[in-house]
Amino acid sequence: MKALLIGEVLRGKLAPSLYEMLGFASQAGLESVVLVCAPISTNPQFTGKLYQGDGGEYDPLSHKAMALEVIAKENPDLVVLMHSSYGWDLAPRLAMELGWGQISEAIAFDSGTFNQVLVGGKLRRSVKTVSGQAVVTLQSGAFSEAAPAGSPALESISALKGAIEWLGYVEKPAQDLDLTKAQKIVSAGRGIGKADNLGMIQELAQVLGAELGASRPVVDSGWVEHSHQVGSTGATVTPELYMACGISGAVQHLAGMKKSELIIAINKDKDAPIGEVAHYVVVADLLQFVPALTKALKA
Amino acid sequence: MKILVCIKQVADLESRFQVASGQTWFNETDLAFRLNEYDEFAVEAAVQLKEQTGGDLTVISVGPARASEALKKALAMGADQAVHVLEDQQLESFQTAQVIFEQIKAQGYDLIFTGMQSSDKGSGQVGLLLGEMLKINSVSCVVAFKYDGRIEVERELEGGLRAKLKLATPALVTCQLGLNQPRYPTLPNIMKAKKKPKSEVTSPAPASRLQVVALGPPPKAGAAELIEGDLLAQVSKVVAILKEHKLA
Repeated sequence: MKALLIGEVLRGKLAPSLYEMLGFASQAGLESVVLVCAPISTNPQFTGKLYQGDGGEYDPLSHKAMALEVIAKENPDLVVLMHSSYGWDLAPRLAMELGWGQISEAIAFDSGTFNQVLVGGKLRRSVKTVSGQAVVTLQSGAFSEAAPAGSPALESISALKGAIEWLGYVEKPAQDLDLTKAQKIVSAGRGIGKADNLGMIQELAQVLGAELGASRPVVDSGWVEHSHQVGSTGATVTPELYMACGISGAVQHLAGMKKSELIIAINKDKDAPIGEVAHYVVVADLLQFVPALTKALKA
Repeated sequence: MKILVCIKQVADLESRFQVASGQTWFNETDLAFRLNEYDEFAVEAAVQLKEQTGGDLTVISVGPARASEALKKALAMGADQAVHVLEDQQLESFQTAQVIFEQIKAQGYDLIFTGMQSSDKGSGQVGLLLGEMLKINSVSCVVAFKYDGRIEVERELEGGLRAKLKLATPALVTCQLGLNQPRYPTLPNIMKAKKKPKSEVTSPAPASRLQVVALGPPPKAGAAELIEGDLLAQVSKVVAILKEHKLA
């Protein structure tokens, strides 16, 4: 069995997540062929073949064509990408063209089936494709990285011109707050209910000498600035203390804070997925618990 | 301009989920359902474009009878008409995309909006599959959208970075949270929506390309210690933990 792993390129650099894909392939006992559609500064280290394209960094039509060319040559059983902004965009295009089933955001692989998370982490399912061939995207961090070793055989591949015009990267605005340097973070989630309740979270943060963090819905609602966002589209943090107030624990949030040293969650639902990474879950209404804790800490 | 928005009704994620007999989906009895959050941003983007260009906006959903509530919400937000493809089975992404494709392939939509993913399954496939079936340009995970004859979008990448792109219509975009501020339907608009055209159709779904082998709750991590009971006891316990770790 063979897997085509499609690496992603950001600003001339190959994303290190390729080693997660190589780790998955090795765990699954698959031979690996790698395709990288845009030029990269340093080649990855693995044993196998590396197809190197000369396309832009995001150009779906052209990347799809390059992948199909490599698939026709190599006949892989699996096409593997990360479940990232690059991978989830390209994967369905390939699945459609190949007529294969797609398995999105796999978190584990066991004897031919992939595990996936449903309904915000409250259920899991194991699936396989009917044909056995599959396009799979892997959840970031779910598979152990392969150690870089070896030197791939290189083959060049030419990009065709796509239909989408690339206007460039847009930087995030400069931010005063750098959550990644915070030693303590008190974060607010959707469970705070409304913007007015943010005050009590801020007060607790102040008493603890912590920075204010937030989950994505709180930021999208405009209650706090994006610089406070923790998770895969915000900051990845590793403070000594992370208090998650009313955060149920979507995988994207967990990815950004699960390596914190001490995680205390406050949640009405004792089964909330935040419990998978928290050390303690206070099962309580945060609107009562947070002010009570602040008061006790002030005393 | 002809605009389409594809929406899904999903179970509220605050619910407790129990595996239904058959082991492939959860029991829907007693659950609350709502318009998929990502789709609210898609509807808002579609309504704003219709307001800008004076176009005609259709909303489509594939799902059981309960999904009509989600369609009503989209009509109240500003869609002109609704198409409900009645489907009682839980379809996989490819099947859903194919069913929508069959309904709309002859309609010549200039712009199609979908949510970036559904909050129940999170596959992120239907929009892009539909774009491929229609052989039109598509871009996923859009957090900024502008139309001036062509469309200019920003895609959200990781770590706060975005990519700016320009593309010609016809096109399909999948909408990420935060793209805009979805409006709340006003009472007069809810009343008006009741008079808007709604059609119910059926369409055979193709065979699924996926096979669900098992469905269940996640394994108990076991790591988290639960602090339950009386509020003051909970507070003392947390203060003690913080002090033990020299954090308070």
